[in-house]
Amino acid sequence: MAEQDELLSGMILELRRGTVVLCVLNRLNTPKYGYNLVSELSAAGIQAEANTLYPLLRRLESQGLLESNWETSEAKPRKYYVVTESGRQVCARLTESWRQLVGNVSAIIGD
Amino acid sequence: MNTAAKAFGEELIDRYVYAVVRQLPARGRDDIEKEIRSLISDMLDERRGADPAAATDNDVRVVLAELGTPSELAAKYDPDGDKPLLSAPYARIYRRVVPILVIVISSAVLLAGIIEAICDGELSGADSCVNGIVAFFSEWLPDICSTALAVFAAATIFFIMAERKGMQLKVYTGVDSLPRVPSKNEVISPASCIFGLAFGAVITAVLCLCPQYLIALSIGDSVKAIPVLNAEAVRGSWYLWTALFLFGAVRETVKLIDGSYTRRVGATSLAADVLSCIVAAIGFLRTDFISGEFLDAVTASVDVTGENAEIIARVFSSFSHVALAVFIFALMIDAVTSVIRSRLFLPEK
Repeated sequence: MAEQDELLSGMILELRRGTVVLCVLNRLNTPKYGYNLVSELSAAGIQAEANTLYPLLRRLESQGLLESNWETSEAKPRKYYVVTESGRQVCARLTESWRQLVGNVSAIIGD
Repeated sequence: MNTAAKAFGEELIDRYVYAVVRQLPARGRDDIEKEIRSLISDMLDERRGADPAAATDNDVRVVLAELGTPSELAAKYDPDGDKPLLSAPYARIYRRVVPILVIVISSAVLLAGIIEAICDGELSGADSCVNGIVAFFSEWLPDICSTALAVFAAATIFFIMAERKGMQLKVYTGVDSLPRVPSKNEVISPASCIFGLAFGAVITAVLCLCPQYLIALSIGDSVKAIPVLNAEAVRGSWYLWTALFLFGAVRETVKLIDGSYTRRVGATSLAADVLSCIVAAIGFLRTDFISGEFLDAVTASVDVTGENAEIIARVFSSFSHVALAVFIFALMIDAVTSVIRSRLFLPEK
């Protein structure tokens, strides 16, 4: 049973992996700092670890899909991320692909 | 945090952040450090809710544990940091080729050592045999080990550079780049490449280390051993033999990798053979490598009064030129064979 649980948790992790990028791009249409985003995703039932999400934000920024800005006017400095024009386009296409995938998979598993 | 806990907690955070960022590339390190500190601060705030100042040493420990070990977090910030030096297609060729190069070239040095030891009489005689073997290994083992290490290092650096520069070793990227199935006479057996490498390595080792033991026997009133080569001149031109060996090693290694007469084998063989000819011409014509004693013995043993006297006299008076001509002829045969079999200058089918 423990072996099966381990197998299942690995499969669930694989399923979630690609969806985090989709969620992040969709949520960052307005500027947010990293922990703010972790909390928002968590509240929506998407578990994204902070130690995974922060490096992911940097990777998306290096790919030109996000841009960042350090906000120092608040009590503590925070780095805010927002989606770029290129990121917006990629997000729209990715969302469309996601909807199509969900429809196709649902048809197969008989939802 | 209360004052004592704050001091300890802050020190713990400093140590954690330092342990993470020191594993990252210098570029972007400051920004990541600020970001991690900001994240830790937010996580502590969340744990303590309305009173973030009350965060304890234990809260810091829990937050840092949630972030994972410094190595785990650093790996997430720098996923390329865990990338192996050689990835799959290059690593497979590397594993096949490098052991052969190391073994063949080290064995050649060992063989040169054995030849020298036998000729010096170090290994003869029952009493001195054990001492001779011990002396032999104490003298030659460092040379053999350093040769093996040098070959290993050079080959490893070559493969790493090849991968970094995206050099096509034998990496077929798509259907259009699949190799042509070679006909029977286009296949190159690994044994022939290994023989070529071993032969070149042995000759180079002997020429560089103990050329005085290449001898001819003069049979007259008594049997006399005559050195064929001018040992001092030959040994002094070690760079020449090494360069010739390196050209040959590149040619045989490419053959070993491709396994058939591809265009790359044709081009490499042609280039290696032409370069070898140039280097050999420079070396052979600049210095006389044949010993005067050997030339005198050969001239004396030939009937110089016969009808071919003039030709024979001319051949032996310029032995280096003759040797060079034979060497170049052999290289040209190899180059022409490689070019024809690889269809180097014919249009692609």
